[in-house]
Amino acid sequence: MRIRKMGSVARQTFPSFTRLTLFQRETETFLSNNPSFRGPVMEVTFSSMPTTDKNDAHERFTRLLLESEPVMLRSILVLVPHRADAREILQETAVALWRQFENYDPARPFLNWAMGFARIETRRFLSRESRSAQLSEKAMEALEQEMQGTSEFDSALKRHLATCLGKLSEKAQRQVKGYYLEGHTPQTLSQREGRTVEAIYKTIQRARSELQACIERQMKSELA
Amino acid sequence: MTDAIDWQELIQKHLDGQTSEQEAAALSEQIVNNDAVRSDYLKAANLHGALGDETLELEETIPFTQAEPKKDRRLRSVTWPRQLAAAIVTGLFVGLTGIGVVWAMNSPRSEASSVPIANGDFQSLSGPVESGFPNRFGYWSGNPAEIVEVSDGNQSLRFLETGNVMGTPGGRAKNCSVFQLVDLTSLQQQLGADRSKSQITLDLSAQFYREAAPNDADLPNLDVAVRIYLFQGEPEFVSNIWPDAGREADAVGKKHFRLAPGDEASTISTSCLLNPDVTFALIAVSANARTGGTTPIPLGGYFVDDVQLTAIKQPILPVRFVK
Repeated sequence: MRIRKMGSVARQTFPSFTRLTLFQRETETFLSNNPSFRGPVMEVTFSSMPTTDKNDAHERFTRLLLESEPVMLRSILVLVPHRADAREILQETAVALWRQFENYDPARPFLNWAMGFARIETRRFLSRESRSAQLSEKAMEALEQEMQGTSEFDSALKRHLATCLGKLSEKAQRQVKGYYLEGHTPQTLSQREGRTVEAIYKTIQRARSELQACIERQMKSELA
Repeated sequence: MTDAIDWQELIQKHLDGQTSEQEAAALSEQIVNNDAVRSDYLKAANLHGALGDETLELEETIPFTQAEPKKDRRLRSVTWPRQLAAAIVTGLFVGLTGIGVVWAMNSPRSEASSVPIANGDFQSLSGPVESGFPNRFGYWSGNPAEIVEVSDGNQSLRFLETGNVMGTPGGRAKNCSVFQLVDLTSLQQQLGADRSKSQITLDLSAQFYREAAPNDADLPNLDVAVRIYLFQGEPEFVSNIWPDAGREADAVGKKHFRLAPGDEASTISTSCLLNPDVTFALIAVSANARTGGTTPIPLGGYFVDDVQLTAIKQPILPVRFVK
């Protein structure tokens, strides 16, 4: 079902970047979790890809989107932490951006322009999907306001995340890797590890708290 | 919702979609009104986003250790020089005596699958373990022990003192054991009753470690152990006959190991054959003072973690006789 949904989004306007990034990543994750799955993925076509007279615009758009996509995804994840939801919002943002790309002023930073669309698509997604335990509108606004600009923690995160991951216990590393890099659900990990789903969640949450504390310690030691 | 809430914990739950509507509303309020919570939320959410972002350019390589599949420890314990030596000795013996021997036609191949036990990693528990012998499935209980957070942030079970788990007057307090009853009926259904082509072994393993404690010198013979007993019937009857239940068991596996303070953590395991009639297992992890006294003895810094039960299916190999 997920593939069908994504396929329908892709058919609308998605140019070649889709295959390279979002769509391919989601498809591969889905197929690796469902080895017996056959069918809808083969039906996906890109028949509505823009024609050659827009090739320059495609290339420019693809390049700009590829550059901005990780930052956009991480910003969406702040408000909508569920990764599949965040990726769906990102896809719809990409569709909206492509539709409006002719109105984009190249003199302005693409990321700033794109983030406005991401905010709209996030709100649209949340009102459409009505997730029960989501942050209030006021809370999201407060977070968006504080997200402006790069925080010290973000740059420290890039410097120290690898070191801090290495300090986690082997069990925590294995589960963090399974959850984030391999894209497994806690249910899948619980079967793989022979532990309860609750225990998997707890290990991952504890690991994130440890990583955060570790990065903050590294920041302090840099200042000392 | 009060100030007693651990906001950091709630933030972590929210990132995994585990908060209730009420909790999300309380967290939202704090994000709006409390700078510290808002800042913590942003840090945690950015970290959550970064962990899932394979395009993030880190300044160092992520040093994830490769997860290794659980191996059949019985095979691992025989190293290749010993296997080679055994082959040479066997060859000489056959060649010199000309007696008939039995050879397996195919090389053995085993399949391992995890058998769920409740809180084998102790991550979802904290505080003292329930005292007394267990009489139902799926929880730890036994002699005085507690689940504590250790230096690496994980939860481990700490053995506190020896005791007599049945509370028998005048009974010996020679070890601190913590038990769990494990229902094997669904495993048996999956495996089927026909064991003519394969045999099933249950392998119990646990990781033990020892930290230095003031009374270490008083406990020179202390060791740790894993034990597994397999039974038919209902679990209640074991508590009625303990500690003599071993005599009634369908199969028993035990392994002892001695650890010095500060030694590296050691995983020890024991295994026994699982017959089709077995319905449940009693598993135990323990620290043994090896004294005959009746007075409880404080045990210092003995810990156990990562208790796992694995079913190993091995083919019963076709054989032929050769001269």
